[in-house]
Amino acid sequence: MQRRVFLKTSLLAAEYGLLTGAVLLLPRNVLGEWRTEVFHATVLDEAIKWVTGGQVVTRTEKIRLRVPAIVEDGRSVQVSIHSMLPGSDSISIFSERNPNPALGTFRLEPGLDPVIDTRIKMGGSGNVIALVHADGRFYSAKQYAKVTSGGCG
Amino acid sequence: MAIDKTHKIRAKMQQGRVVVKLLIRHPMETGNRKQPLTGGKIPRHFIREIHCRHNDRTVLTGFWSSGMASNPYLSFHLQSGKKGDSIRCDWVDNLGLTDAIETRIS
Repeated sequence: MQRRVFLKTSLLAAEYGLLTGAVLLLPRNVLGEWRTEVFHATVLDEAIKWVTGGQVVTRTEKIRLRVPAIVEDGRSVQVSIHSMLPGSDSISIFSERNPNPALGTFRLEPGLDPVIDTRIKMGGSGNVIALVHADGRFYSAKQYAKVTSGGCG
Repeated sequence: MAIDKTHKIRAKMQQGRVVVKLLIRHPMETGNRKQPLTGGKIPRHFIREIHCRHNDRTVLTGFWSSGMASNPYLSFHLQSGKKGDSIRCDWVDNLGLTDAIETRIS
């Protein structure tokens, strides 16, 4: 167990450590504000917890999440998220049936509409979850999609 | 793998807002796929951080996993801006390769 933890940690370090040089070139070094462990979680609830830090997540109708009802190719699925919650400053996307359910987080600065359109991979039929941080609290919406051909390789 | 340079970006005024659409060429390998011939795994290779700026102000930061689709697409809306303003996105992948694309609002 000890050894496994060590290996996992060193792999993580290798993957993210390489970046130090490159990140210095970016306008703002944001490493440290974001826990990269979230992407290694293998269970949805665990992945969400890495983002929320265990805070309560409220289900809401005020996030419009659009995913095709039937996905023919899970390798590229159009997802559209529109938050109508005032003070929305981050949007995260999860897919329940992926080997690693956390797909990405977007941090929105003031002056940006809480609207994100992107494409994700889906490993199988299941819920896509949008998690929005607004006014210091977390809110979520989910949408089921039937995937006829999974895209997680 | 060398990164193909055919990234695309468009920033357009639409009813007072700026709609930005971005298409990046990147394999976004999950590390789970197998090489069809050798059966060996294709190593993980994905964009893990992206920063988008309006003129010099960061407006959007994305932290991604390999679960984003290959050749990632992203669209977002700025509440204000004017023609000629710069929109620039910089990204870095898990191998430390960086790239960027810039356009002017039209």
